[in-house]
Amino acid sequence: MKASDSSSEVSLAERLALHRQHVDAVSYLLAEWAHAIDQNRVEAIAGLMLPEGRYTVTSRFNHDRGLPMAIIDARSAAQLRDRIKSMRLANIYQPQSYRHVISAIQVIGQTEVGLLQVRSSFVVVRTMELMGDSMLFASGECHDLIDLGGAEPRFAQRRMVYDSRAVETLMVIPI
Amino acid sequence: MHQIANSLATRQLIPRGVNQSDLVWTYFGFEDDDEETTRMRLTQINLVGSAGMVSVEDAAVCEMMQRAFDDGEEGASFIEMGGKTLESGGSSKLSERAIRNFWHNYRQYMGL
Repeated sequence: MKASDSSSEVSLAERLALHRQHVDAVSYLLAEWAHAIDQNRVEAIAGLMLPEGRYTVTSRFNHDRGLPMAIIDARSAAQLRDRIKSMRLANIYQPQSYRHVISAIQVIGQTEVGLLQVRSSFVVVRTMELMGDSMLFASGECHDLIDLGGAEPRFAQRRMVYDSRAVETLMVIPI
Repeated sequence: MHQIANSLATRQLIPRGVNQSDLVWTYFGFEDDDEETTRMRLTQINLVGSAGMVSVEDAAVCEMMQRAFDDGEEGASFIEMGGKTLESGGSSKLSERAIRNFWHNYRQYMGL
């Protein structure tokens, strides 16, 4: 995958020190997001974003080529809230649930304004309620900017890059 | 072809077998679009595609129809939408008039 961070400018030792300092808060926030979705409390994820934050889901194909097309691109927490409301009220789909598995969490740098650059891997397994079958729905990498400056940790940016070229039927629940 | 608000795309439905098909979305704009227009087209992609708030059901509907066809004893079904002739079906989009005319002309041009 094409690197979307400037972590190479920082030595491994420096990154490790930064990682040790913040890994608990960062991991907790990542898990909070995943559990909210998996436990069908999807509305809660909008509250884990800064109001002016951004949540993007794009394919590795587009990401690697610098193509701006993203299947989801919420440019504020309010836009994400709207999308979740649409999922609850307007969209028609088979009842389903997700299970997130997150691994390889690394704090890899800090921006000029103090946001932490974090990357992690994810797998999402989807279970269809009707037939009860589970299948691998998505795998990929998260590129996050996390703000630890407020009362609680928040995402300033979540960019989920999925490996597949295709989405199985639909992605109605955010990942 | 689709146009939903200012989002433009081609959609190809590619059969991969009896029970599987790919829906390929190719979004595009124009070279002389200004930045604001391009940004708007990209934002409106939130409405369309496999995670689009308007068209998220598209592939699921195809799936449901395939299942409904399979339910027949023969494993095949026929739906006649808006008659059989090139003229029948009126101007409503809820007819297969356009499709019948497309294949009619296709066969003519291809000499089939």
